[in-house]
Amino acid sequence: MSAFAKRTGLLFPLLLAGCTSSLDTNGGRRPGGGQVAPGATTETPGSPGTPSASPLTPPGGMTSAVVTPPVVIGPPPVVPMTCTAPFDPGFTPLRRMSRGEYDNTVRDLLGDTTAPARAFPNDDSVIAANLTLPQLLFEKYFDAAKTLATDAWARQVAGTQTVSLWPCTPSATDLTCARQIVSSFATRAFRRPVPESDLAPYFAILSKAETLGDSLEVGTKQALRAVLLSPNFIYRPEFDVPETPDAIHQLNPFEIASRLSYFLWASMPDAGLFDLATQGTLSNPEVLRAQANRMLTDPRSVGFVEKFGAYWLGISGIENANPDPAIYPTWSEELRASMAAETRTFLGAFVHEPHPLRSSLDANFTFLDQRLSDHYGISLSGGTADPSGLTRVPLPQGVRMGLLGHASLLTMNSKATETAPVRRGKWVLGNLLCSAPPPPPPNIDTTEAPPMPGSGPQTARERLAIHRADPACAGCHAAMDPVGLGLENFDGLGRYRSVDSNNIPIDPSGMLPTGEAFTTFEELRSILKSDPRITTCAASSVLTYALARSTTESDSCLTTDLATKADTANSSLSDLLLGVIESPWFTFRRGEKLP
Amino acid sequence: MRKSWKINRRWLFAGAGSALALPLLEQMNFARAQANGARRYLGICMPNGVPSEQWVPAATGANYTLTTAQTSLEVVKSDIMVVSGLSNKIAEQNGIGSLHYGGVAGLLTCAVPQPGSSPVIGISIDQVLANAVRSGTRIASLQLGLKEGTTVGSGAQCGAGTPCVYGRELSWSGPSTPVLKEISAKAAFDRIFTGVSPTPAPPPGPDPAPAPAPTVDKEREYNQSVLDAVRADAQLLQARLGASDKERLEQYLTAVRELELRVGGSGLPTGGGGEPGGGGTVPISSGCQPGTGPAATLTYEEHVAAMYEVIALAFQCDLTRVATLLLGEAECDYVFRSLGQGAVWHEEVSHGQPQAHNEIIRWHLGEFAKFVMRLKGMVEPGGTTVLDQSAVFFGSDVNDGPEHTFTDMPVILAGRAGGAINPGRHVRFNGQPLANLHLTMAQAVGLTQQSFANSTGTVNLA
Repeated sequence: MSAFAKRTGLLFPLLLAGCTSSLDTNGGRRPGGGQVAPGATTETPGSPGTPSASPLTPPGGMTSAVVTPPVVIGPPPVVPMTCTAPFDPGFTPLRRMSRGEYDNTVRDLLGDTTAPARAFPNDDSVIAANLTLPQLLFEKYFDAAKTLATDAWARQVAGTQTVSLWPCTPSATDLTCARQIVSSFATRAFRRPVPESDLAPYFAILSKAETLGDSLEVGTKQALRAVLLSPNFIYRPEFDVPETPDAIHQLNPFEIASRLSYFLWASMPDAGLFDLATQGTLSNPEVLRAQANRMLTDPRSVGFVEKFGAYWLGISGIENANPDPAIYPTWSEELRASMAAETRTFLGAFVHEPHPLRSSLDANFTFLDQRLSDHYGISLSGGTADPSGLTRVPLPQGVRMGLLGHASLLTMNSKATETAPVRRGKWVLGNLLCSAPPPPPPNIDTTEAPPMPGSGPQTARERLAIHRADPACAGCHAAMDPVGLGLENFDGLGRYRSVDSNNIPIDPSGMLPTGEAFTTFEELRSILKSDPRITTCAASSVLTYALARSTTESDSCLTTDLATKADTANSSLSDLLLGVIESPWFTFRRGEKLP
Repeated sequence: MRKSWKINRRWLFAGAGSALALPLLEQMNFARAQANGARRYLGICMPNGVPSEQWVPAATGANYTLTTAQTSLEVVKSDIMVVSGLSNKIAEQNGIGSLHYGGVAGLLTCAVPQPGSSPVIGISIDQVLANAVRSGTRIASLQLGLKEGTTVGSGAQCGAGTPCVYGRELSWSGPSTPVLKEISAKAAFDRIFTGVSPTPAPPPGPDPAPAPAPTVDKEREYNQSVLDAVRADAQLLQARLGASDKERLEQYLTAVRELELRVGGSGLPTGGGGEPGGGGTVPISSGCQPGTGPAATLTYEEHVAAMYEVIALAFQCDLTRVATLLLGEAECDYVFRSLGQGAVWHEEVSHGQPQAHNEIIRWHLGEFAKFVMRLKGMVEPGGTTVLDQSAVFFGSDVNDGPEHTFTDMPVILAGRAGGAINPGRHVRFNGQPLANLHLTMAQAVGLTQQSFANSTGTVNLA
């Protein structure tokens, strides 16, 4: 960070005219003016319509069956050896910040920790196409921008602002300083250098204040409010090559910085990333890797842990769990929070520590507080304090090892009054194996049949036997039910039990459609741990999350490559993240193919 | 806690009884609109389905007996119409999200919900109506709900191949653009009524107080310049984006325009129906008394009552004429402890406990009945009531909780839509598409187009 930036407390150094000499002010690519990706080895020709196509020749060679090699502009992407089809990074629509990203971004942009987006409508989706902008949300943005700007300005005046808004000291009449404040704020809020000419609409607000007889400070505050409502703030635009919008090209360094920061932090780039983008070195593989590693150790990486945890494992589902206190007297909001904290911290350990990805299914440690320690009957002694506030507890061989023993996942996949083996089985298939069964056909009564009068209590296994008897159900339930029944040793709150609520001993044994049989939960767990889909599912989940679009056939060579590495080199979740970041899927883009 | 929801709904709206009217700069044309007989539309979905045997009365016509689940409607029986026999099988296709998700998104769209990572369905009838009527009210259309709704992967029926949004939004402005709902009653109230401040209307008679000298409303001026700035910025950005992103940014520009009507400008009337900008002093009815709004924290049951009250007030003050209300979400698993229940609504009650399910339905219809009575008590300048001018649709996502069928959809109507609907009867339309009813209701409220979704015509409600 420059000395000036340090002095002013700015996250980013001010981008004065000389700072951008190697780049134009739109961040390396001016719409309408052709593009030169920094570090490009292939120049874009000046004449529109005749880009120098650079057919991909991956190191492993390309089949000659390719009909139309995609147009690639700029440096050639390096794809895994195993990829035979032409590289295609796919098209991700204009991305709007989701709720969580908005809160993290205003925290880092303004030092505002009030999380205003909690009052926004539910838009939790990692798919860019789904992040539309309905009227209500725009109005929430409008209201939030006003409060955020007013509060930040007040903190600045009071001297308590943690992220300075003032590169100069404003006065009622200093127009130069007012413009400088707007310009430096817009640069950070838009996450790229903003040419003065683009800021004219915001400067007009300063004139408006003069017309209304207000001081320039009032006008500047209003201009900052407008910046917080700008589409350049609310969305993260990435630009295509104007003449050939569907050409594959490397992202400009500021676009890469934002992709990195929203991937690993669910927030805006910091000064370090912004500096590297300004220098044009961020697309250098060594620099990119070093930055990704730095970011993964930064506390802001909790942004990834939470958002990816919600997407991959669905751990936010614990917030909707509704156990019946009449049956589970120990259930409380505090217990809910403890459960969520365990899984979140556990996932964090898999991001921050080099555990093999598959060991998430039988890790010999977890994170507990006293409440969850009592809940599980696992002592905290012998544990170590974790920065999360929980105790990191070593686990002996047993049922509690790994994700499948987490009370959060077991509870959210239960009914209010009892376990839900089908739901649990479906969760394992869908979330861990990316093999979600299709929904039941219409006109099927999915109600469990009541027990025959006088027949005595039924076990879950007996109740689900009807699925095997009905051919319309058997196909899917043969995959779901054995997994769910194998988890029956965990009650509706995830506590271990050897008998069910009717005191009938639990038989967790079963056989998967693949023919693998098990007699205990731990045997089931080890079968699941070695399922090849564990790593391919994690890889495609990470890629979907990173690119904000669903994966397609042309992504499969990357996900297969990443999964193979996870299997053969025991690589970790963070290796998977790095693998995605270092792939051209992450640093390249194309516009939408026109029909 | 068990009886807390039974408090008088007025308690939820502190100050509702005080004499209120509107400030000069916020002059709303609603009195004129009411005199002109402005019609209102409301679409309500109670999730989790209702089996027809719990819903369809034995007899049709005026002499029918409400079912056990419907007894709470007795007090408004002459103001409602039980409708049976309609089919919405189009929403059954693809079996989206155990059908409940397709059922919720399909209820007002009557379209095929497509599988995939992004939603593709159809425009909903309320949005068709809002686009067509363009009433110029402060809120073009209002979407309310109770729960945030399920998000990806949280163990529900959505996620892989099924967008969760199908289960949490009723209103769709286009096939892939759900109109997200507001779930905070307080925020909804503030959005609708902020600026509708309590200033008494000038009393009739000689020697009225002189009107205050016009002052510059700085807040409004700044609102306008902020919106001007971001619009200019968006246009600049739009010119640089690819074709489909350009279109995406249209959502932003539309939102700017809509909000501008309300918070921007330089003091022109922004609320109420009638011609935009048709200012001037309009007599203010003493009927519009929004009060100070609901409390920020409500129980689930209070929440339901508060949302109904927000809609009633918004209709009465003519700040919106089109609204939807989703009473939960697809596969809603709320536990009605207030009814002495311990099991969750969807997975346990609607699937396997018909008596308890009846109680839940009866409770919901009871709240609906209170809402109908509230509209009926809102007398408009012409002597009619808000209920007389309204067309209210109350339905559920599927017929028959356990089996999830889309024939014989559970529907109840309320209101007379200015005379187009003749309630007090059970009417059966065997096998006609649900879209026919939506089209008929929308036409009664002012829609002129002759078809909607998979409609094959209209139904006779008169």
